Amino acid sequence: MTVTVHKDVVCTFCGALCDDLEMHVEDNRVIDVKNVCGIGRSKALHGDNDKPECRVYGMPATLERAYDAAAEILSQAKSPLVYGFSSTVAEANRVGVELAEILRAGLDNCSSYCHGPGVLARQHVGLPTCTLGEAKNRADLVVFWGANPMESHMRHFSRYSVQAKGMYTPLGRKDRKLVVVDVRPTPSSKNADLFFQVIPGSDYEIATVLRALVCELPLPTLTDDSLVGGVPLSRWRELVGLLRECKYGVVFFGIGLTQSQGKDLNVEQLIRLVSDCNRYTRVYAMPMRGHANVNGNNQVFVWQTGYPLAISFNRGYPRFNPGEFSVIDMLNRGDVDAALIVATDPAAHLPHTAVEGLKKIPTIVLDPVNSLTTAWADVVIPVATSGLSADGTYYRMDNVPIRLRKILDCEWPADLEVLQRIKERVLHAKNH
Amino acid sequence: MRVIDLRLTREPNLPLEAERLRPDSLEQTTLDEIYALPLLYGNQTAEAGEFLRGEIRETGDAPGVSLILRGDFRRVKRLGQGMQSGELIIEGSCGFHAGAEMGGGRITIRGDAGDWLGAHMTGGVIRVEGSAGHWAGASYRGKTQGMRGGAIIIHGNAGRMTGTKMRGGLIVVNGDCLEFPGYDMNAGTILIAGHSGRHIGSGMVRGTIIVREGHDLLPTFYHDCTYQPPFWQLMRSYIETQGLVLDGWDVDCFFDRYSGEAMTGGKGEVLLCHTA
Repeated sequence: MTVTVHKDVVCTFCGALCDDLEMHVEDNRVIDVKNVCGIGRSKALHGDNDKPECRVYGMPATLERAYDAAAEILSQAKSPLVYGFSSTVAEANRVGVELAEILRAGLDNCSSYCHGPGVLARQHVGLPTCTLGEAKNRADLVVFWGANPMESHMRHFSRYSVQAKGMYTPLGRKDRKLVVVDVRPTPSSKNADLFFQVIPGSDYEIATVLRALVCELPLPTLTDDSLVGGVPLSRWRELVGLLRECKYGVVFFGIGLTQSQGKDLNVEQLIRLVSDCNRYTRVYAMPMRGHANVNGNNQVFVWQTGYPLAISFNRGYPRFNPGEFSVIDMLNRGDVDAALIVATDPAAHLPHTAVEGLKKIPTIVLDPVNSLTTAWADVVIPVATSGLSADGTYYRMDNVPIRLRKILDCEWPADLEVLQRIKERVLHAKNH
Repeated sequence: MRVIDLRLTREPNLPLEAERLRPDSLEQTTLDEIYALPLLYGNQTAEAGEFLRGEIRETGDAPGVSLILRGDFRRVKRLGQGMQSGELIIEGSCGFHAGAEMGGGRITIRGDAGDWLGAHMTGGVIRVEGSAGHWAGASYRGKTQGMRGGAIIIHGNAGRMTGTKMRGGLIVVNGDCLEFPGYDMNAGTILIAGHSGRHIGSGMVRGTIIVREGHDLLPTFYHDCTYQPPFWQLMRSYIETQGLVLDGWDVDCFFDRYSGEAMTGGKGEVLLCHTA
């Protein structure tokens, strides 16, 4: 058999979207991958192998029968939910929004319980940000706050942030200061020049004190030995010194910040801190987006509806209210009577009560691999894997769109096609 | 007074949005017209009569409408939203957005209230005999001003973000309150007679927050003085006229006055009870 080598393939595991992978394909299977992290390798080698069976109510079915069943369930529902999309292409997101509008459904994505608070904060205070290319070429100070890229975004250090050699950082790691703020030592913190081990839930207070220090406001109740978030004030002064004196700083924040006590308010305060630092030098902030295209969800949802997440079309037009229309809250309260799940695995990600809520209602799932959700969903439709057997557009964590190529053939259709087929049937059922 | 007395006969399985149920829009309506009012049930339109049954009676010569809703309305959203006059009495608990954007009148909730109670309200009084959810008197996301007038009196506890971006009016919480009361507050008064969660008044620009317990202020609040504010007795009297007595809280109480938040100008004030 001939081995075909595909260069500059995009990895679709995390939001860093490394686009320099080299994939060796033989007999329509990936047999080797180069320039990739451990998780990306596993996804590339096995991402198109473990396809679920096409099923309707537990029985094997044809695709046409599955489309019909999905359309019937959704068009009869009084309060359907269309949810997921974090691991599928932007084009499928767009059709998903269209389908939700036709169904007058709730619409949410995985950022609802990961970086959604950061998106909400951005709505309030904006976001001074840059691209990963700028971080690589210019950043001499890198701060990771509530993020552990050594385990979650494994090539982030080497490709973009810490060890990467850029135009103005030719020595890579030696040209940079690395600061980590986290609640426990992590593999990332072991590489740090400065590590701040903070008390969980104290991020808002810390960011407030840092802002006061940057703005040179008096803090009469604190001395240098006073603990702020479990760390003496004198050490926070050290960090403020670095932030004010660097030539180009980037603060990458993770779920440790967005999902701890305070949530979007933590991020708001951090962004304001970064804005304050820009009185002295150039400092930027960037979310460490997790799932490969979860940023694309927000981009497409905003483009299509005006809102990034937690949307309801039940009045025929989009309304937005996190807490009321977000997936976990809706499922916990039993506000949903049918669900269409696309490219995510709620049974693995959501809290137990929400999963139990999902199990009580008819559930349709589109997934390229067997998952905890495909095990019990009422309609299971196998799809091609984005980035391996389906092409399209993903958005990197720095909002740069990156085109994915199709390098394998697959007997199953892509998410985009499945959603279009379901949409056609729903339109027909609703006499549009 | 016209009394419209309705009972919930069928508990909705899905969220029911009932902003049409407000006393000021039912002054001339017959019972059949009330039953025919369209409500949003999931993504469908349902008639109020599918869920409610009751009667209309005239009592006395006083003008106005008193709408009484009996039952568990926790899945019913937007009761009394936007009402401008009249009285709404909910003999049970209610769902999200009760009294949101109301401009006048009076709402009494005998049970608990959901989130966004009185959000964006500009006038009137809401009294909750149970507890309220998060975002009471707050602004919706993306808006710059929350409650701008009127009063919310909560006999029980309140959730997070009470009075967020509040621009006027009064919120009284007789019990405890979770984190971030008065976040980004612009004006108005919040009184917490129990224990407050963390980060009281963070980001506040102006306004007053009075707290009995839970003195966890951010270091960007500065102590000014310890004093007896002259309005304290007036405020207590007003709250008593609204049916809430602040038990065990000394009338001659001294308060520590802190000004803040320094990051946003420092013109707000937090009064922490010195002798609870």
